Amino acid sequence: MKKTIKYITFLCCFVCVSQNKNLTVDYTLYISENINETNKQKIEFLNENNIKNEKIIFKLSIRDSISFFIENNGIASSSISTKLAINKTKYSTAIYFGDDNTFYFKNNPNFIFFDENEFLIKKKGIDNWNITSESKLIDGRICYKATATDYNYHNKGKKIDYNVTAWFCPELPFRFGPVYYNNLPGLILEISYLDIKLIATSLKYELDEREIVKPTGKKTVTIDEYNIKLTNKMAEMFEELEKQNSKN
Amino acid sequence: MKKLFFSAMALVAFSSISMANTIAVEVKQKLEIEQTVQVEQTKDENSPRLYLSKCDQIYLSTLLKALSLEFSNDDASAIALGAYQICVERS
Repeated sequence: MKKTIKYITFLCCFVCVSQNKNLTVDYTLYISENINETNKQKIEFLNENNIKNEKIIFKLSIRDSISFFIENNGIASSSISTKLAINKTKYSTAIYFGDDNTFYFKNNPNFIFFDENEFLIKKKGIDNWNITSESKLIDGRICYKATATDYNYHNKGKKIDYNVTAWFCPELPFRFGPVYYNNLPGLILEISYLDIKLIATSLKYELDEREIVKPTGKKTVTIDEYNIKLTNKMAEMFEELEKQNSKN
Repeated sequence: MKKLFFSAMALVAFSSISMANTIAVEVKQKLEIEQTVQVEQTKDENSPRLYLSKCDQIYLSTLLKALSLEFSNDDASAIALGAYQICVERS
């Protein structure tokens, strides 16, 4: 009798967990200051281009061990100001996370001298999170703080390291989160780095399978290799611009 | 006299043939050089690397300025694309 009860209990738990393997989360982007610039020339340059911020929402779709993170309104149709705000998250195109613990995404279409489908860029997820005992309630769930360091390329090949703080909830047994952040024992409901914060504002145990699209590219490169290619291509194009200008 | 005449004729004919050959070789060489130059020129014109439209130039100038102002690659590209799109719409 005891065995039967145990079996039924285990089965119920298993069914519950299995049913919850699909999830869709909306994350809203908050920027600490609208335009956090002190450089006067930079502000003038932004004003010339009429650049302001607006509310931006990202969507994370989870199916079993796969996740797909995308800017909700379609980056291609966004204004420059929206693109600049999105860039603060270090997101450029839809991010696919597969079974191999690697993020995949296409090259940034804003750089027009690469084909939109030229590169499939891969980036390893953070696997050395420092999980602390610090906790807080987010939407009635206990979440714990975890910290890590990530890096990004700024410009001219310059690498920038920055700290990441994530709040994950073990009550939600999904190892995923927004942008390039996952691998924590619970869904990340809040994350902050640089001068941005992404907060989960909607959670649904449903999924539109069509929304998960694995990106493709002619050449697969690591983010470091891509940065070298981008820096070289920019230098090459600037050289050509100079040549053409001197001819005229 | 006849022998002398034929010898002279043969010499003239031989010289003409030699000259014609030399000219033919020179013409052939010149044509080959011209063809090579033409191929190189066509290559240059077709190469996207060497052909920058007016809007491409605007894109690159904006990108260069944004990078010099310490915008990130992504920000600079987004701003440059905006300038490029305005250029395309206007032209």
